[in-house]
Amino acid sequence: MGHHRLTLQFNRLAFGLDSVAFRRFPVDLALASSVLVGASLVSHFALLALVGYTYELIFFSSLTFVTIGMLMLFFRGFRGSLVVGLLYFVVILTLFEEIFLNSALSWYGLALAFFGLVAFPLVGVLLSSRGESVRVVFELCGLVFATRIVFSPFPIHLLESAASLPVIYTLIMGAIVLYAWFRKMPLGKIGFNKGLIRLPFQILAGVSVGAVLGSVEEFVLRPKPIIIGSSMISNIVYLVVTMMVFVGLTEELLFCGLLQSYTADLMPKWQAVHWVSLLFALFHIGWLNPLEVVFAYGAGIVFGFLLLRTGSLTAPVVAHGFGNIVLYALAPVL
Amino acid sequence: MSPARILLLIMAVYVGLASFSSLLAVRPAFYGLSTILGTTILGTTVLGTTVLGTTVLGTTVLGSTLLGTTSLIQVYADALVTGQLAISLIAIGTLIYLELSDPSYGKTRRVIEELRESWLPISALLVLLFAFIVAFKIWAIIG
Repeated sequence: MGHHRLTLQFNRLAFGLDSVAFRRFPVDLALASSVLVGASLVSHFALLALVGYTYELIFFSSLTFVTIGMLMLFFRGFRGSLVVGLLYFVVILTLFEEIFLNSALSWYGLALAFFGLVAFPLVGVLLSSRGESVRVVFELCGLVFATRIVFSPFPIHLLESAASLPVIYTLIMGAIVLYAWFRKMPLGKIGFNKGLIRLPFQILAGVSVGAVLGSVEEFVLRPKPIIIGSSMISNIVYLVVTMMVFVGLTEELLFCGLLQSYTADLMPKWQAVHWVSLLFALFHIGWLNPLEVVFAYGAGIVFGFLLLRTGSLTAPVVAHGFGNIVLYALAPVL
Repeated sequence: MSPARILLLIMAVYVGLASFSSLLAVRPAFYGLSTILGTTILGTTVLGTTVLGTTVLGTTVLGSTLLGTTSLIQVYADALVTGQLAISLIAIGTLIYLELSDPSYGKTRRVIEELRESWLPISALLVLLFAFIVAFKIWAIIG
């Protein structure tokens, strides 16, 4: 009971949820995400039967996924607004940017990323009379597209090295930190706090969720193991540091901590989690496996829900990082 | 601890761990690794041209048969070069905008001032990337 009351207080303070909305929130989120996941899987397998495993399948599966995801906008009679409409335009732009970036026409993808980088902060300024959160969310959208161009300065042979991954993530984190410092963001709002439950339980929740997600993702992707040298200890240390810090913390801070927290000021809370998860899923098109996109959406929903339930980034970061560790640790075994 | 110090500490940890990881990564090995927020840039899924054992990119890409004649590595290399040019031009453009919209030149419209603030973090990132581009160009010439 005590934890429930604390959770209610946090959600009231951070996200403006009253007790009725708080009880309804998981139900709405579960309904919307189940419909999207179910419909996307059905359409994916139907397309697979029609066109086979080609690039057209990836394109049309992703397009169907986004279309159904946008139809969820009208769930529970929600009418939306100009801002919400523009946020869904961000999703459409991301879809085409990722589709092009991961094709032979990758320059078009980069061009769309440059467009988003410059245009969305401008949109935020033009709509700033609608509130500070509107400006911040569109600036963050620009920042999300910036993550797509940070690898550009590096020569191609360096990008093939495993060492480039931490460097690129450090650049992304640098941009996030610079932005958070520049806008004087309250660290509590973006998930840097002790949370509503004790730290060991947050970590336990993250590890449990991560273990399940990693196992499911291994089944979806069947990736090859990451091998950076002959020493097993080096491999394990590299895997843990890279997945937990560089991938887990950076991505969860950007998507859950920043985007979800500020988008939740602009639309119903379940929809903020849904929108961020859509965006997060589209950034997985590079795997060229439509099932991975659907999986990433589900994982995004879980991470967003963990943030709301625990009030801290700890659980989502641990779940994301540990999930990736399980994914690659299981790879050589299975 | 103040928020600014916490953010600075996070960056210090990142730089330290990035250096440490670079020492560990003694040879190229981007095997199937999901990078940059989930997208494989140069992983096997993109450049290896197979997904689940089936040729994907070798057949058609967005309706064209570009890959029949051009390798994906070359496509990515070309995109990177064009991306570097775009970074340089946009960085210079935003710097010029920041200079021209400086309030010390006189009173400006609210939108122009707000845009100056909104583009500042992106300008800083682009200038940093521009510095990387210059450094790698010099390295390529000297090396």
